[in-house]
Amino acid sequence: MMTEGTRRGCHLVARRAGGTQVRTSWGSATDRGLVRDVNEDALLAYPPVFLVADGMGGHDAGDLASRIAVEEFAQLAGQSAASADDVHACFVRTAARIRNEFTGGRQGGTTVAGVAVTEHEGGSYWLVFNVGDSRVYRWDGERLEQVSVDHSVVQELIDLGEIDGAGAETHPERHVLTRALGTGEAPEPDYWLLPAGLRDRFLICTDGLTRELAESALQDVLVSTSDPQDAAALLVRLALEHGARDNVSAVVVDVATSTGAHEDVHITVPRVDSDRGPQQPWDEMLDGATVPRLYAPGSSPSGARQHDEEDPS
Amino acid sequence: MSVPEYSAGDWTAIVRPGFVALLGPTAAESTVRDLWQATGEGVFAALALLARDGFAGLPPFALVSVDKRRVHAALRGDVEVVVDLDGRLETLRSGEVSTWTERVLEGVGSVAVQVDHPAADAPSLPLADGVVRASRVRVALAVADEAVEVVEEIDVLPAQVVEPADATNAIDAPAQPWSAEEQVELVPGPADATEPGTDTDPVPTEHADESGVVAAAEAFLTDSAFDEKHGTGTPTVPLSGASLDDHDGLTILSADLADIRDQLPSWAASEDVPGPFRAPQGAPMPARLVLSTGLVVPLDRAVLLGRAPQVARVSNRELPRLITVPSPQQDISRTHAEVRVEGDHVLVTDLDSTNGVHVARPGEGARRLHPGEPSVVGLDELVDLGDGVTFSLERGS
Repeated sequence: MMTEGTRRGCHLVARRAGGTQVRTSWGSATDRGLVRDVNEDALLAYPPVFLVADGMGGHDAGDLASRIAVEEFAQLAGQSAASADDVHACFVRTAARIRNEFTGGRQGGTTVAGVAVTEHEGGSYWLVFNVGDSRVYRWDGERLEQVSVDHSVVQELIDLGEIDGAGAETHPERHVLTRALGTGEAPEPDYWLLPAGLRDRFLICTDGLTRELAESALQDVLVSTSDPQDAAALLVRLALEHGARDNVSAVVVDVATSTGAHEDVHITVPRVDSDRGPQQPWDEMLDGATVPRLYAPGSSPSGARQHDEEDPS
Repeated sequence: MSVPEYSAGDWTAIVRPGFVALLGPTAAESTVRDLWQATGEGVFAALALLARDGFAGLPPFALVSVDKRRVHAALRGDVEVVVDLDGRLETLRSGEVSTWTERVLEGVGSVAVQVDHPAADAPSLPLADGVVRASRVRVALAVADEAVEVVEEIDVLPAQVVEPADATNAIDAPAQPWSAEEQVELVPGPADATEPGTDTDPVPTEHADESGVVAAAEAFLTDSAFDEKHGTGTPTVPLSGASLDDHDGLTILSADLADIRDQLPSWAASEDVPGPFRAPQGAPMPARLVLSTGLVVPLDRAVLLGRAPQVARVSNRELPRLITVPSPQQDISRTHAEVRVEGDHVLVTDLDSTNGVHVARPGEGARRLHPGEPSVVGLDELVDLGDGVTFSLERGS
């Protein structure tokens, strides 16, 4: 069985002036839910970039589109920081690959929402990015704020003051996106730059989570569950308890507060506890794609290595 | 690239890779020439050279050697060194000492060496390597890309430490660009004795660790996660039975939206994204912003100034530069003002700051900008953000 340690990630991702550094720790979980046959969600949780992708178009297209997004963004993994141009290039490559690989009338696309550690004019910032209706929330120690703005018809109605949040949940057009990746047009992600705060915690999730859990429920979990992996797993489990009509994915990213001289760094290998037995291998199509990849319990996570890291500050 | 910039003046500036000296007008030509030759050995050697005729003959001077983000400065007389420490400016002066004052600072973003009270509007010109009459020399140390370079090139360091002769040769080569590699080579030297144990040892260890993590991560990703996908480039899922029925049937592709939108009222089909940031129009006038803190910011894209500026919902090409300015009294709001070029004009907007943005022409009273309204600000005007932070605008070269 996996131990607690292998389910959590921690890594130093960006250096700041004066030798201080921003460390992140994170956790992630995904599940195909109780209704759908296939998990078309994919997620990437490795510094400096954390994201979820919600594929659309059925199981030869939606899941492939979201996996292409994760593959392209994973090329940033291991960098100390990612610039806005780096991230934008990933969007462009993802859109181009979906266009080129989807032939014969297949149609698919994906949302992408996430956060990257970036350096801007010498300071450390969070670069939040979004196309579609997956979401990025920030908990700053005092309140939960939805940073990203959905690209959906319902959001446009809210912006116009035509409907409120409650109306959005029941609106017949609530699943109509106004932007996605892989729809033939040049990608148009929105960006936000937020100064990195020491108490920041981010939740990145697909609409399968926000459809089942109200914002107050998200906040309760984020406040009460300190370990990011436990928080991500609990959020997905709560969504399953609420019926999980869609695929559910969550990534929780913290600024690591540990200042110990040594920190074990684990490459995250999370999974949601479910009824799957240890003999049943993780199936990317059924269970969702993650980077780093998920391993079934009992199998040898050959790629997951531990590193001792000197704290230079 | 961080090519140093200088402004003309009466003093003599010697600019070499990783080294800047500003000597008072009384400095002899032979001193300048000898210093030009000796700069490879750092501040210590330069001090030894300047003091070779005893302390009585010392001209006023500022010597600055730069290594990555570490600055070693020595000052004497009416000259100051302004360093940007992560957005906080610190001004070094020699004070009431009969010899000179020395400081070593880590984490410096930029350093400006200048005579006391330099003319604020003197034009600034690039100078990679050379000797000029100057009142001010400014070097930017910190660029995110360069920090990455340092990580990758760190294995150069041990070799240079063992063979200091190599480092000297490299620095003597003329007209070298200010690469991070060369600045690393300046590390060994007696000047480091002022801060024992802070540099040469921890730095390689840290970098070695970092590259180890990166390599392991890359190996991990390559070995296990993507083999089948990268190897074949084909989908990993069966194509049979493909139908939209497998989807939940609720999420709709934006490709299908054209039809849907035809049935929607016109406001819902609008592509307008709300937000105060507009895309640049046409080829803008080259211009830059000069802060009272010494920072010079090109206006090739919009600039947001504030105590802790942030950006909400923009496209990639609209991403502005964020400039953090010090505000110990918190007079300056988090995101206080925006500056951008439109056509031949520079527009300054008060972003609903608490204490406002004031603009003054010399000899006239200050006017307060209307919040949220872009206002044209002239090259002869001074913009006051509060807490003593002002800026003016310059036409670029």
